[in-house]
Amino acid sequence: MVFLRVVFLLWGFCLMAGCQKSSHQTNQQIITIYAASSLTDVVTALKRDFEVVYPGTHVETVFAGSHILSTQLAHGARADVMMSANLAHVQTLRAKQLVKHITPLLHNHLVVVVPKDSPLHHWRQIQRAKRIVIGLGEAPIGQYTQQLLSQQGAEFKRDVLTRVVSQEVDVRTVLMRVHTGQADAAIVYQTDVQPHHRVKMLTIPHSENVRASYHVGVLRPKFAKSWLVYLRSSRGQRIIKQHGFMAL
Amino acid sequence: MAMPAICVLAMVPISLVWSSSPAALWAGVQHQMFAPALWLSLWTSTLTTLLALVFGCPLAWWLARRAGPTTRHVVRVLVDLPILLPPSVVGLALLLAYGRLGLLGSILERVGVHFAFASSAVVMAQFVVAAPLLIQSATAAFSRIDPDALLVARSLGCTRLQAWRQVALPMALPGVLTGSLLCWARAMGEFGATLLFAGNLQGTTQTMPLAIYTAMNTDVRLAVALAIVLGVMALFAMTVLRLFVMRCGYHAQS
Repeated sequence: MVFLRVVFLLWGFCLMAGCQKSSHQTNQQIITIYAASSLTDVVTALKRDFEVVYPGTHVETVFAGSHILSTQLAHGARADVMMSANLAHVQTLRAKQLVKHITPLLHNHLVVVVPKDSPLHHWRQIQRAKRIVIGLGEAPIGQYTQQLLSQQGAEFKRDVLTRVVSQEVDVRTVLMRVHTGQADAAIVYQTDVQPHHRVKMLTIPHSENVRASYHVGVLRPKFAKSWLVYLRSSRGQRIIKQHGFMAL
Repeated sequence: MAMPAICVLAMVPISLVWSSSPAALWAGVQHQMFAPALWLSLWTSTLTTLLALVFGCPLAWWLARRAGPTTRHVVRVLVDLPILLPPSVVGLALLLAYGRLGLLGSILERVGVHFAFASSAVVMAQFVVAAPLLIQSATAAFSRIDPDALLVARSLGCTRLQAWRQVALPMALPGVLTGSLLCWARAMGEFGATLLFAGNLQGTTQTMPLAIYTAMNTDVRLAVALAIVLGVMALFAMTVLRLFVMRCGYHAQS
Protein backbone atom coordinates (compact mmCIF):
# COMPACT_ATOMS: atom_id res chain seq x y z
CA MET A 1 0.00 0.00 0.00
CA VAL A 2 2.74 2.44 0.97
CA PHE A 3 4.50 1.65 -2.27
CA LEU A 4 1.33 2.28 -4.30
CA ARG A 5 0.77 5.58 -2.54
CA VAL A 6 4.29 6.67 -3.35
CA VAL A 7 3.76 5.71 -6.98
CA PHE A 8 0.54 7.72 -7.13
CA LEU A 9 2.13 10.73 -5.47
CA LEU A 10 4.98 10.62 -7.97
CA TRP A 11 2.52 10.31 -10.81
CA GLY A 12 0.61 13.32 -9.50
CA PHE A 13 3.79 15.35 -9.27
CA CYS A 14 4.68 14.44 -12.83
CA LEU A 15 1.25 15.57 -14.05
CA MET A 16 1.55 18.83 -12.13
CA ALA A 17 5.03 19.42 -13.47
CA GLY A 18 3.73 18.77 -16.99
CA CYS A 19 0.91 21.28 -16.54
CA GLN A 20 3.20 23.91 -15.12
CA LYS A 21 5.63 23.51 -17.95
CA SER A 22 2.99 23.99 -20.61
CA SER A 23 1.37 26.98 -18.86
CA HIS A 24 4.76 28.55 -18.31
CA GLN A 25 5.75 28.22 -21.93
CA THR A 26 2.75 30.11 -23.26
CA ASN A 27 4.60 33.37 -22.52
CA GLN A 28 7.05 32.39 -25.22
CA GLN A 29 5.65 31.85 -28.68
CA ILE A 30 6.01 28.33 -30.01
CA ILE A 31 5.62 27.29 -33.64
CA THR A 32 5.18 23.56 -34.23
CA ILE A 33 6.31 22.31 -37.61
CA TYR A 34 5.65 18.86 -39.04
CA ALA A 35 8.13 18.26 -41.85
CA ALA A 36 8.89 15.46 -44.32
CA SER A 37 11.86 13.36 -43.25
CA SER A 38 13.84 14.48 -46.32
CA LEU A 39 13.67 18.01 -44.89
CA THR A 40 15.31 16.97 -41.59
CA ASP A 41 18.62 18.77 -42.16
CA VAL A 42 17.36 21.86 -43.94
CA VAL A 43 14.50 22.51 -41.52
CA THR A 44 16.80 22.05 -38.55
CA ALA A 45 19.13 24.66 -40.05
CA LEU A 46 16.20 26.95 -40.87
CA LYS A 47 14.86 26.60 -37.33
CA ARG A 48 18.21 27.62 -35.82
CA ASP A 49 18.47 30.69 -38.04
CA PHE A 50 14.80 31.57 -37.54
CA GLU A 51 15.22 31.63 -33.76
CA VAL A 52 18.07 34.13 -34.23
CA VAL A 53 15.96 36.37 -36.48
CA TYR A 54 12.87 36.09 -34.25
CA PRO A 55 14.13 36.00 -30.68
CA GLY A 56 11.49 34.84 -28.21
CA THR A 57 9.96 32.45 -30.70
CA HIS A 58 10.69 28.80 -30.28
CA VAL A 59 10.31 26.30 -33.15
CA GLU A 60 9.43 22.69 -32.43
CA THR A 61 10.00 20.18 -35.21
CA VAL A 62 8.65 16.71 -35.90
CA PHE A 63 10.08 14.68 -38.77
CA ALA A 64 8.55 11.61 -40.42
CA GLY A 65 7.31 10.41 -43.80
CA SER A 66 4.76 12.94 -45.13
CA HIS A 67 2.03 10.27 -45.20
CA ILE A 68 2.67 9.55 -41.51
CA LEU A 69 2.50 13.24 -40.61
CA SER A 70 -0.71 13.56 -42.60
CA THR A 71 -2.31 10.64 -40.74
CA GLN A 72 -1.18 11.97 -37.36
CA LEU A 73 -2.56 15.44 -38.10
CA ALA A 74 -5.84 13.97 -39.34
CA HIS A 75 -6.09 12.17 -35.98
CA GLY A 76 -5.71 15.23 -33.85
CA ALA A 77 -1.99 15.97 -33.64
CA ARG A 78 -1.43 19.72 -33.21
CA ALA A 79 0.84 21.62 -35.57
CA ASP A 80 0.94 25.07 -37.12
CA VAL A 81 2.64 24.14 -40.36
CA MET A 82 3.10 20.95 -42.35
CA MET A 83 5.92 20.78 -44.88
CA SER A 84 5.15 17.85 -47.16
CA ALA A 85 7.28 16.22 -49.84
CA ASN A 86 4.29 16.23 -52.18
CA LEU A 87 1.00 17.97 -52.77
CA ALA A 88 -1.39 15.04 -52.18
CA HIS A 89 -0.79 14.68 -48.44
CA VAL A 90 -1.49 18.34 -47.69
CA GLN A 91 -4.50 18.22 -50.00
CA THR A 92 -6.11 15.44 -47.95
CA LEU A 93 -5.79 17.68 -44.91
CA ARG A 94 -7.19 20.60 -46.90
CA ALA A 95 -10.23 18.47 -47.74
CA LYS A 96 -10.70 17.86 -44.02
CA GLN A 97 -10.47 21.62 -43.47
CA LEU A 98 -7.46 21.19 -41.21
CA VAL A 99 -5.13 22.90 -43.64
CA LYS A 100 -6.32 26.42 -44.41
CA HIS A 101 -4.14 27.12 -47.41
CA ILE A 102 -1.32 25.54 -49.39
CA THR A 103 1.75 27.10 -50.98
CA PRO A 104 4.45 25.44 -53.09
CA LEU A 105 7.85 25.48 -51.40
CA LEU A 106 10.70 23.96 -53.40
CA HIS A 107 11.80 21.20 -55.77
CA ASN A 108 13.92 18.14 -55.41
CA HIS A 109 15.17 15.34 -57.65
CA LEU A 110 15.85 11.66 -57.25
CA VAL A 111 19.21 9.88 -57.29
CA VAL A 112 20.39 6.29 -57.02
CA VAL A 113 22.74 5.57 -54.13
CA VAL A 114 25.08 2.58 -54.02
CA PRO A 115 27.83 1.57 -51.56
CA LYS A 116 31.19 3.38 -51.99
CA ASP A 117 32.87 0.29 -53.43
CA SER A 118 30.04 -0.65 -55.80
CA PRO A 119 30.99 -1.45 -59.41
CA LEU A 120 27.86 0.35 -60.66
CA HIS A 121 28.52 3.75 -62.21
CA HIS A 122 25.37 4.64 -64.12
CA TRP A 123 21.95 4.93 -62.55
CA ARG A 124 20.27 2.60 -65.03
CA GLN A 125 22.61 -0.17 -63.89
CA ILE A 126 20.45 -0.32 -60.77
CA GLN A 127 18.76 -3.28 -62.42
CA ARG A 128 22.01 -5.22 -61.88
CA ALA A 129 22.02 -4.60 -58.13
CA LYS A 130 21.10 -7.69 -56.14
CA ARG A 131 19.32 -6.02 -53.24
CA ILE A 132 17.39 -2.82 -53.85
CA VAL A 133 15.53 -0.82 -51.22
CA ILE A 134 12.87 1.76 -52.10
CA GLY A 135 10.24 3.79 -50.29
CA LEU A 136 6.81 2.44 -49.40
CA GLY A 137 4.11 3.18 -51.98
CA GLU A 138 2.23 5.47 -49.58
CA ALA A 139 5.26 7.65 -48.84
CA PRO A 140 6.06 10.44 -51.33
CA ILE A 141 9.50 8.95 -52.01
CA GLY A 142 7.81 5.66 -52.95
CA GLN A 143 5.39 7.42 -55.27
CA TYR A 144 8.15 9.39 -57.00
CA THR A 145 10.20 6.19 -57.32
CA GLN A 146 7.31 4.37 -59.02
CA GLN A 147 6.91 7.36 -61.35
CA LEU A 148 10.62 7.36 -62.19
CA LEU A 149 10.63 3.64 -62.96
CA SER A 150 7.44 3.80 -65.03
CA GLN A 151 9.00 6.48 -67.23
CA GLN A 152 11.72 3.97 -68.16
CA GLY A 153 9.22 1.44 -69.47
CA ALA A 154 7.44 -1.57 -68.05
CA GLU A 155 10.34 -3.96 -68.54
CA PHE A 156 12.86 -1.82 -66.66
CA LYS A 157 10.36 -1.23 -63.88
CA ARG A 158 9.66 -4.94 -63.49
CA ASP A 159 13.40 -5.75 -63.46
CA VAL A 160 14.00 -3.27 -60.67
CA LEU A 161 10.93 -4.15 -58.62
CA THR A 162 11.74 -7.88 -58.60
CA ARG A 163 15.02 -6.99 -56.88
CA VAL A 164 13.42 -4.90 -54.18
CA VAL A 165 14.12 -6.54 -50.81
CA SER A 166 12.53 -3.97 -48.51
CA GLN A 167 10.16 -1.02 -48.65
CA GLU A 168 10.77 1.56 -45.96
CA VAL A 169 8.33 4.02 -44.45
CA ASP A 170 10.49 7.09 -44.99
CA VAL A 171 13.37 8.17 -47.19
CA ARG A 172 15.95 8.37 -44.40
CA THR A 173 15.43 4.71 -43.59
CA VAL A 174 15.83 3.88 -47.31
CA LEU A 175 19.18 5.70 -47.34
CA MET A 176 20.23 4.03 -44.07
CA ARG A 177 19.96 0.60 -45.72
CA VAL A 178 22.73 1.47 -48.21
CA HIS A 179 24.71 3.56 -45.74
CA THR A 180 24.91 0.60 -43.34
CA GLY A 181 25.81 -1.74 -46.18
CA GLN A 182 22.68 -3.89 -46.04
CA ALA A 183 21.46 -3.05 -49.53
CA ASP A 184 23.25 -2.70 -52.88
CA ALA A 185 21.20 0.20 -54.21
CA ALA A 186 18.42 2.56 -53.21
CA ILE A 187 16.46 5.44 -54.68
CA VAL A 188 16.37 8.60 -52.55
CA TYR A 189 16.23 12.37 -52.95
CA GLN A 190 19.37 14.08 -54.15
CA THR A 191 19.42 16.25 -51.02
CA ASP A 192 19.43 13.29 -48.63
CA VAL A 193 23.01 12.32 -49.42
CA GLN A 194 25.51 14.00 -47.11
CA PRO A 195 29.33 13.84 -47.32
CA HIS A 196 29.50 11.67 -44.18
CA HIS A 197 27.38 8.93 -45.74
CA ARG A 198 29.41 5.98 -47.01
CA VAL A 199 27.60 5.96 -50.33
CA LYS A 200 28.22 6.81 -53.98
CA MET A 201 25.61 8.95 -55.72
CA LEU A 202 24.57 8.05 -59.28
CA THR A 203 22.78 11.08 -60.67
CA ILE A 204 19.81 10.76 -62.97
CA PRO A 205 19.77 13.14 -65.99
CA HIS A 206 17.04 15.78 -65.94
CA SER A 207 15.31 14.32 -68.99
CA GLU A 208 14.82 10.99 -67.17
CA ASN A 209 14.27 12.35 -63.67
CA VAL A 210 11.07 13.27 -61.86
CA ARG A 211 10.39 16.55 -60.14
CA ALA A 212 9.43 16.26 -56.49
CA SER A 213 7.39 19.31 -55.52
CA TYR A 214 7.30 20.12 -51.83
CA HIS A 215 4.33 22.02 -50.46
CA VAL A 216 3.60 23.84 -47.24
CA GLY A 217 0.20 23.44 -45.63
CA VAL A 218 -0.83 26.05 -43.07
CA LEU A 219 -2.94 24.68 -40.23
CA ARG A 220 -2.95 27.70 -37.91
CA PRO A 221 -2.31 30.84 -39.94
CA LYS A 222 -1.81 33.09 -36.91
CA PHE A 223 1.16 31.11 -35.64
CA ALA A 224 2.53 30.10 -39.02
CA LYS A 225 2.78 33.59 -40.48
CA SER A 226 6.28 34.54 -39.32
CA TRP A 227 7.64 31.14 -40.41
CA LEU A 228 6.19 31.56 -43.92
CA VAL A 229 7.57 35.09 -44.19
CA TYR A 230 10.96 33.79 -43.09
CA LEU A 231 10.90 30.92 -45.64
CA ARG A 232 10.45 33.44 -48.46
CA SER A 233 13.09 35.83 -47.12
CA SER A 234 16.55 35.86 -48.67
CA ARG A 235 18.02 34.30 -45.51
CA GLY A 236 15.59 31.40 -45.66
CA GLN A 237 16.02 30.91 -49.39
CA ARG A 238 19.82 30.93 -49.02
CA ILE A 239 19.69 28.08 -46.48
CA ILE A 240 17.30 26.13 -48.70
CA LYS A 241 19.70 26.45 -51.66
CA GLN A 242 22.72 25.60 -49.49
CA HIS A 243 21.11 22.25 -48.75
CA GLY A 244 20.79 21.45 -52.44
CA PHE A 245 17.09 22.11 -52.87
CA MET A 246 15.81 24.08 -55.82
CA ALA A 247 13.88 27.15 -54.76
CA LEU A 248 10.86 28.11 -56.79
CA MET B 1 -6.58 0.38 -5.18
CA ALA B 2 -7.01 -2.22 -7.90
CA MET B 3 -9.23 0.00 -10.00
CA PRO B 4 -6.71 2.43 -11.58
CA ALA B 5 -4.63 -0.37 -13.09
CA ILE B 6 -7.75 -2.21 -14.27
CA CYS B 7 -9.09 0.94 -15.96
CA VAL B 8 -5.83 1.64 -17.75
CA LEU B 9 -5.52 -1.98 -18.92
CA ALA B 10 -9.18 -2.30 -19.91
CA MET B 11 -8.89 0.67 -22.27
CA VAL B 12 -6.69 -1.42 -24.59
CA PRO B 13 -9.34 -3.91 -25.78
CA ILE B 14 -12.19 -1.39 -25.38
CA SER B 15 -10.61 1.23 -27.63
CA LEU B 16 -9.75 -1.35 -30.30
CA VAL B 17 -13.23 -2.85 -30.43
CA TRP B 18 -14.90 0.56 -30.10
CA SER B 19 -13.16 2.02 -33.14
CA SER B 20 -14.05 -0.88 -35.42
CA SER B 21 -17.15 -2.42 -36.92
CA PRO B 22 -17.86 -5.88 -38.38
CA ALA B 23 -17.77 -4.39 -41.89
CA ALA B 24 -14.42 -2.68 -41.31
CA LEU B 25 -13.06 -5.85 -39.74
CA TRP B 26 -14.12 -7.92 -42.76
CA ALA B 27 -12.63 -5.37 -45.14
CA GLY B 28 -9.39 -5.54 -43.18
CA VAL B 29 -9.30 -9.33 -43.31
CA GLN B 30 -9.76 -9.22 -47.08
CA HIS B 31 -7.07 -6.60 -47.60
CA GLN B 32 -4.10 -7.79 -49.67
CA MET B 33 -1.70 -7.04 -46.83
CA PHE B 34 -3.52 -9.26 -44.35
CA ALA B 35 -3.06 -12.89 -45.47
CA PRO B 36 0.71 -12.78 -46.24
CA ALA B 37 1.43 -11.00 -42.95
CA LEU B 38 -0.68 -13.43 -40.92
CA TRP B 39 0.88 -16.47 -42.55
CA LEU B 40 4.42 -15.12 -42.14
CA SER B 41 3.81 -14.25 -38.49
CA LEU B 42 2.33 -17.67 -37.76
CA TRP B 43 5.09 -19.76 -39.29
CA THR B 44 8.01 -17.64 -38.11
CA SER B 45 6.76 -17.52 -34.51
CA THR B 46 6.06 -21.24 -34.49
CA LEU B 47 9.50 -21.98 -35.94
CA THR B 48 11.09 -19.64 -33.42
CA THR B 49 9.31 -21.44 -30.57
CA LEU B 50 10.39 -24.85 -31.86
CA LEU B 51 13.99 -23.66 -32.18
CA ALA B 52 13.78 -22.17 -28.70
CA LEU B 53 12.54 -25.52 -27.37
CA VAL B 54 15.25 -27.53 -29.13
CA PHE B 55 18.14 -25.24 -28.18
CA GLY B 56 16.69 -23.60 -25.08
CA CYS B 57 15.78 -26.72 -23.08
CA PRO B 58 19.30 -28.15 -22.98
CA LEU B 59 20.58 -24.74 -21.92
CA ALA B 60 17.89 -24.49 -19.26
CA TRP B 61 18.69 -28.00 -17.99
CA TRP B 62 22.37 -27.12 -17.81
CA LEU B 63 21.61 -23.83 -16.02
CA ALA B 64 19.30 -25.51 -13.53
CA ARG B 65 21.32 -28.60 -12.68
CA ARG B 66 24.85 -28.60 -14.05
CA ALA B 67 26.40 -25.14 -14.25
CA GLY B 68 28.80 -23.89 -11.60
CA PRO B 69 27.79 -20.74 -9.71
CA THR B 70 30.01 -18.31 -11.67
CA THR B 71 29.28 -19.57 -15.16
CA ARG B 72 25.60 -19.84 -14.25
CA HIS B 73 25.59 -16.20 -13.23
CA VAL B 74 27.30 -15.07 -16.44
CA VAL B 75 25.01 -17.13 -18.68
CA ARG B 76 21.93 -15.94 -16.77
CA VAL B 77 22.92 -12.33 -17.50
CA LEU B 78 23.25 -13.20 -21.20
CA VAL B 79 19.78 -14.77 -21.15
CA ASP B 80 18.23 -11.83 -19.29
CA LEU B 81 19.85 -9.16 -21.44
CA PRO B 82 17.47 -9.32 -24.48
CA ILE B 83 14.51 -9.10 -22.07
CA LEU B 84 15.92 -6.03 -20.35
CA LEU B 85 17.06 -4.22 -23.49
CA PRO B 86 14.62 -2.39 -25.77
CA PRO B 87 14.02 -4.40 -28.97
CA SER B 88 15.46 -1.57 -31.05
CA VAL B 89 18.79 -2.09 -29.28
CA VAL B 90 18.56 -5.81 -30.00
CA GLY B 91 17.85 -5.01 -33.67
CA LEU B 92 20.83 -2.68 -33.82
CA ALA B 93 23.06 -5.30 -32.20
CA LEU B 94 21.85 -7.94 -34.67
CA LEU B 95 22.61 -5.57 -37.52
CA LEU B 96 26.13 -5.02 -36.19
CA ALA B 97 26.60 -8.75 -35.74
CA TYR B 98 24.93 -10.34 -38.76
CA GLY B 99 24.57 -7.39 -41.15
CA ARG B 100 26.69 -7.51 -44.28
CA LEU B 101 29.35 -5.30 -42.75
CA GLY B 102 28.84 -6.87 -39.34
CA LEU B 103 31.15 -8.89 -37.14
CA LEU B 104 29.91 -12.30 -38.27
CA GLY B 105 27.92 -11.07 -41.25
CA SER B 106 30.99 -10.29 -43.34
CA ILE B 107 32.29 -13.83 -42.76
CA LEU B 108 28.90 -15.43 -43.44
CA GLU B 109 28.59 -13.32 -46.59
CA ARG B 110 31.72 -14.97 -48.01
CA VAL B 111 30.28 -18.41 -47.31
CA GLY B 112 27.09 -17.36 -49.08
CA VAL B 113 24.77 -17.06 -46.07
CA HIS B 114 22.66 -13.89 -46.07
CA PHE B 115 20.44 -12.86 -43.23
CA ALA B 116 19.51 -9.37 -44.38
CA PHE B 117 15.98 -8.94 -45.72
CA ALA B 118 15.14 -12.66 -45.58
CA SER B 119 12.57 -14.48 -43.47
CA SER B 120 15.51 -16.05 -41.62
CA ALA B 121 16.28 -12.57 -40.28
CA VAL B 122 12.74 -12.41 -38.89
CA VAL B 123 13.23 -15.73 -37.11
CA MET B 124 16.64 -14.60 -35.86
CA ALA B 125 15.22 -11.39 -34.39
CA GLN B 126 12.30 -13.26 -32.82
CA PHE B 127 14.59 -15.93 -31.38
CA VAL B 128 16.91 -13.48 -29.67
CA VAL B 129 14.02 -11.51 -28.20
CA ALA B 130 11.66 -14.38 -27.31
CA ALA B 131 13.78 -17.47 -26.52
CA PRO B 132 15.04 -16.01 -23.19
CA LEU B 133 11.46 -16.14 -21.87
CA LEU B 134 11.30 -19.87 -22.58
CA ILE B 135 14.78 -20.45 -21.17
CA GLN B 136 13.95 -18.60 -17.93
CA SER B 137 10.69 -20.45 -17.50
CA ALA B 138 12.22 -23.86 -18.27
CA THR B 139 15.17 -23.21 -15.97
CA ALA B 140 12.79 -22.48 -13.11
CA ALA B 141 10.79 -25.63 -13.92
CA PHE B 142 13.88 -27.85 -14.10
CA SER B 143 15.36 -26.55 -10.87
CA ARG B 144 12.13 -27.41 -9.05
CA ILE B 145 12.54 -31.10 -9.87
CA ASP B 146 13.57 -32.96 -6.74
CA PRO B 147 16.87 -34.80 -7.46
CA ASP B 148 15.76 -37.47 -4.97
CA ALA B 149 12.75 -38.30 -7.14
CA LEU B 150 15.08 -39.11 -10.02
CA LEU B 151 17.29 -41.20 -7.71
CA VAL B 152 14.27 -43.14 -6.45
CA ALA B 153 13.16 -43.80 -10.01
CA ARG B 154 16.67 -45.06 -10.85
CA SER B 155 16.70 -47.28 -7.76
CA LEU B 156 13.39 -48.74 -8.84
CA GLY B 157 14.97 -49.92 -12.06
CA CYS B 158 14.47 -47.04 -14.49
CA THR B 159 17.24 -46.25 -16.95
CA ARG B 160 18.50 -42.66 -16.97
CA LEU B 161 16.38 -41.85 -20.02
CA GLN B 162 13.29 -43.49 -18.55
CA ALA B 163 13.72 -41.59 -15.30
CA TRP B 164 14.03 -38.36 -17.22
CA ARG B 165 11.07 -39.11 -19.46
CA GLN B 166 8.71 -40.49 -16.84
CA VAL B 167 9.61 -38.40 -13.81
CA ALA B 168 11.46 -35.22 -14.75
CA LEU B 169 9.55 -34.34 -17.90
CA PRO B 170 6.00 -34.50 -16.48
CA MET B 171 7.10 -32.41 -13.50
CA ALA B 172 8.69 -29.76 -15.68
CA LEU B 173 6.16 -29.81 -18.51
CA PRO B 174 3.80 -27.05 -17.27
CA GLY B 175 6.72 -24.68 -16.81
CA VAL B 176 8.19 -25.49 -20.21
CA LEU B 177 4.79 -25.09 -21.91
CA THR B 178 4.12 -21.78 -20.19
CA GLY B 179 7.56 -20.68 -21.35
CA SER B 180 6.77 -21.81 -24.91
CA LEU B 181 3.53 -19.86 -24.86
CA LEU B 182 5.25 -16.71 -23.64
CA CYS B 183 7.95 -17.21 -26.26
CA TRP B 184 5.42 -17.69 -29.04
CA ALA B 185 3.39 -14.65 -28.01
CA ARG B 186 6.50 -12.51 -27.74
CA ALA B 187 7.65 -13.72 -31.18
CA MET B 188 4.23 -12.91 -32.68
CA GLY B 189 4.48 -9.40 -31.26
CA GLU B 190 8.11 -8.75 -32.17
CA PHE B 191 8.38 -5.39 -33.88
CA GLY B 192 11.41 -3.21 -33.19
CA ALA B 193 14.19 -5.69 -33.81
CA THR B 194 12.44 -7.06 -36.91
CA LEU B 195 11.95 -3.62 -38.43
CA LEU B 196 15.59 -2.68 -37.89
CA PHE B 197 17.21 -5.97 -38.75
CA ALA B 198 14.92 -7.66 -41.27
CA GLY B 199 13.32 -4.82 -43.23
CA ASN B 200 9.75 -4.53 -44.44
CA LEU B 201 8.64 -6.50 -47.50
CA GLN B 202 5.28 -8.12 -47.98
CA GLY B 203 5.39 -11.90 -47.76
CA THR B 204 9.06 -12.05 -46.76
CA THR B 205 9.66 -9.88 -43.71
CA GLN B 206 6.40 -7.99 -43.17
CA THR B 207 4.97 -9.68 -40.08
CA MET B 208 1.64 -8.68 -38.49
CA PRO B 209 3.13 -5.98 -36.24
CA LEU B 210 4.99 -4.49 -39.22
CA ALA B 211 1.84 -4.67 -41.33
CA ILE B 212 -0.05 -2.85 -38.56
CA TYR B 213 2.65 -0.20 -38.45
CA THR B 214 2.62 0.18 -42.24
CA ALA B 215 -1.19 0.34 -42.38
CA MET B 216 -1.27 2.72 -39.43
CA ASN B 217 0.51 5.33 -41.52
CA THR B 218 -2.15 5.33 -44.20
CA ASP B 219 -5.37 3.61 -43.25
CA VAL B 220 -6.06 3.44 -39.53
CA ARG B 221 -9.15 1.26 -40.07
CA LEU B 222 -7.04 -1.46 -41.69
CA ALA B 223 -4.56 -1.22 -38.82
CA VAL B 224 -7.40 -1.67 -36.32
CA ALA B 225 -8.70 -4.73 -38.19
CA LEU B 226 -5.25 -6.31 -38.24
CA ALA B 227 -4.81 -5.48 -34.57
CA ILE B 228 -8.11 -7.05 -33.55
CA VAL B 229 -7.38 -10.26 -35.45
CA LEU B 230 -3.94 -10.46 -33.85
CA GLY B 231 -5.50 -9.82 -30.43
CA VAL B 232 -8.18 -12.47 -30.84
CA MET B 233 -5.63 -15.03 -32.02
CA ALA B 234 -3.34 -14.32 -29.07
CA LEU B 235 -6.29 -14.66 -26.70
CA PHE B 236 -7.36 -17.94 -28.28
CA ALA B 237 -3.84 -19.41 -28.19
CA MET B 238 -3.43 -18.34 -24.59
CA THR B 239 -6.72 -19.89 -23.49
CA VAL B 240 -6.01 -23.19 -25.23
CA LEU B 241 -2.52 -23.43 -23.79
CA ARG B 242 -3.63 -22.36 -20.31
CA LEU B 243 -6.19 -25.16 -20.28
CA PHE B 244 -3.56 -27.59 -21.53
CA VAL B 245 -1.03 -26.47 -18.91
CA MET B 246 -3.66 -26.77 -16.19
CA ARG B 247 -4.40 -30.34 -17.27
CA CYS B 248 -0.69 -31.21 -17.37
CA GLY B 249 -0.19 -29.65 -13.97
CA TYR B 250 -3.03 -31.76 -12.66
CA HIS B 251 -1.51 -34.92 -14.11
CA ALA B 252 1.92 -34.13 -12.77
CA GLN B 253 0.52 -33.71 -9.28
CA SER B 254 -1.62 -36.84 -9.28
